[in-house]
Amino acid sequence: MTDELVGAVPVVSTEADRGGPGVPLLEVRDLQVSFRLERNTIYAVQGLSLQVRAGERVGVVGESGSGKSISALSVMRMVPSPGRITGGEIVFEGRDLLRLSPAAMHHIRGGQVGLIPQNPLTSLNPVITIESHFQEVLALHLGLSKHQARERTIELLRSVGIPHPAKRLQEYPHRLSGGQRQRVIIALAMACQPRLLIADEPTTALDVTIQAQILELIDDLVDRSNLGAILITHNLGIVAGHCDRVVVMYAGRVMETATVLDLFDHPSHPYTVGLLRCVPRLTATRSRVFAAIPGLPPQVTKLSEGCPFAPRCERATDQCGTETPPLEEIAPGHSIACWNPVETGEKIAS
Amino acid sequence: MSNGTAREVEERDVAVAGAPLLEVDGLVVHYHVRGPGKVFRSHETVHAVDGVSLSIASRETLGLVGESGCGKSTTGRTVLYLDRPTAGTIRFQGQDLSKLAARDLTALRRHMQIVFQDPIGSLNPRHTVGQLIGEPLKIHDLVPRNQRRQRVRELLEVVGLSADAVSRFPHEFSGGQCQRIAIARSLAVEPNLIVLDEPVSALDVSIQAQILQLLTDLQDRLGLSYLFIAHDLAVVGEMSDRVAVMYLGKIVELAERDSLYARPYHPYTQALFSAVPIADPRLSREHRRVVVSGEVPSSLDPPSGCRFRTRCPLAQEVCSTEEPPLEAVADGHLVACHFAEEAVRKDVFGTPVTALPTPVGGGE
Repeated sequence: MTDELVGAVPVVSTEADRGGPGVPLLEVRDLQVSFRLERNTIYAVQGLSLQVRAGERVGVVGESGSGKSISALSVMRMVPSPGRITGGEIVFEGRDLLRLSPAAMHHIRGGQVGLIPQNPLTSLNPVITIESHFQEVLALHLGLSKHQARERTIELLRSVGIPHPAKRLQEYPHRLSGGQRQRVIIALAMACQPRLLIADEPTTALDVTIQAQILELIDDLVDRSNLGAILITHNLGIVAGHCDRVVVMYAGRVMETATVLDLFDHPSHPYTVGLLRCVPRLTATRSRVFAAIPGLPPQVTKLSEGCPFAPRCERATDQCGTETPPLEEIAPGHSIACWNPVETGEKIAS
Repeated sequence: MSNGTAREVEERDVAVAGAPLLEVDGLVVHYHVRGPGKVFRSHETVHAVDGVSLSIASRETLGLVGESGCGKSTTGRTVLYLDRPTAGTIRFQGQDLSKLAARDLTALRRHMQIVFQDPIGSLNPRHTVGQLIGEPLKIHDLVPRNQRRQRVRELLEVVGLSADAVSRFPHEFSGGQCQRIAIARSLAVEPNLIVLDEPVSALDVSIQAQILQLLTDLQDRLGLSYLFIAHDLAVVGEMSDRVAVMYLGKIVELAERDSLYARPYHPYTQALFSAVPIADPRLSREHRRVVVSGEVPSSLDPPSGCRFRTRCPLAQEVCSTEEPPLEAVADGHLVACHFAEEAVRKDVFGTPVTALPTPVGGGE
């Protein structure tokens, strides 16, 4: 529908690729993002590569400051100032998004790529009605009239499980609960039938029962529409049930990437092992011992050699401090960047 | 801590004996709000807390779980008399708080402190860490002026921050570090009870574990009692001796930690358990959880009878007419449900607790 507007760039992948093992829906190659501040530069993302296929849910996991949210915003070309994408490619359905004109990008954003931002409480405009939010998007991307937009909005709100959607149209966001607002935001992200859905910590601000509902809703949407999805979270517990593949990020770099089953069965990077240990679990009795990763994630202001995780790593050697480990495949589809990976079955002393 | 040794606790004894440190009986907190209508404004009542009774013994942690709007934070604030109760009594160290003069209440607050959810928002951005932690020392006049700075340094050390943090401002710290500062501030007055209102829910999981370990160690060392408020059953389970589950202003289940986690009776508790993400891809794919539908009804007009009945798959006629009392179903295990036994048998939400693993001893 918007292809003529971005016609300058050839479309390589088409419907035929959906779900197939061929060309991925989204391919990020060697993405670099940095923030130039007055005194220093923060290298937020350093060489991120990832792929998302149609119908696939990819989890991006890391602590705050790991660059996971910035990576997601990069796909939308929405990195906040003074951040800049300084290198790499983001190929979406055959087009490099970094080379698109701002006008063409307008049609990708909210059109073919939907974003579910982190905070449902502040992501809706408080002074316009629910209906106006949808009207704007539907008019811009699909050229729907007010009347058509209204019908589509009701349908969308129903599909995300909002009761009595017709009655909700004239209401303002503050009248809705947090869970309801998050549903409205999901409906907005889905309004123009995107091919890719990016969810940035979609449930952090929500209660557990509502979190479970929202995650099931996203799963359902991915299945129903054969979407590609990127789910950004700091909790590996959420990844276990709701993702197919996982990318573990630390200090702007990919530490480990694997299918969910491989990652949980054979976590190989010490950082992944640490994150897995931290996940709060239900247990029959309590131990009063909490496995934590000591220290804090760094803010990368210098491009230096060495593994960024080395200062917090119990397996670090001299080499880790001086040479950056490359991201290498250790099994099909399973790559890690580590000089001293954890062997399968090996227990880490804590 | 300077007098830490004097208060070092050799062994955690299960403190059931003796009078509890905190006793809350029939706590009711209603807020009056203006309803709709421009000329004749109606008045509506928010039933934030509706008859909550609980107690906390010395050195005990009581977990308080529930979704937002269930009244758990209000309960926490009211226990410290930061909010006035509409009805009910709160006794702290045997003293009825409602009978205390404002001055005595301030003095008594020295023994009870609170740590809030938002670590950055709860620290004044214009104060240095030294001022933030030093303020309670000043208010309660605990340490002579010239020793205050030294004491602040000690407190920082206790919570695992370096002493040079004294002259820095909150924005220079991460969320986890700010939470450490807030904990240091609450420890400054050497309290007996700390209300922890969602102390880790704003933090990354890796940092959560650090803070939870700090709180556990402090409890063992200083003999503290905690009212631990959270919505995450996994976290509450690691922290608490006993757990109370709240729904719409009422306690629906209250039991020893192990008893509750082995056998949750109330359908709502079961629903909460079912909603906890399972950190195992195979289990989580096998386990077909039933997610509780709908949302918590408005506390302006809570449902009649049992408040969970509007979302409960077991609800019958009687649930809308009669409010189920909080009664013992097993030793020390209290449940407010007309069909508690049936709920356990049917387990409509597919509670995964039956297959609970033994504790993760920090090992694998």
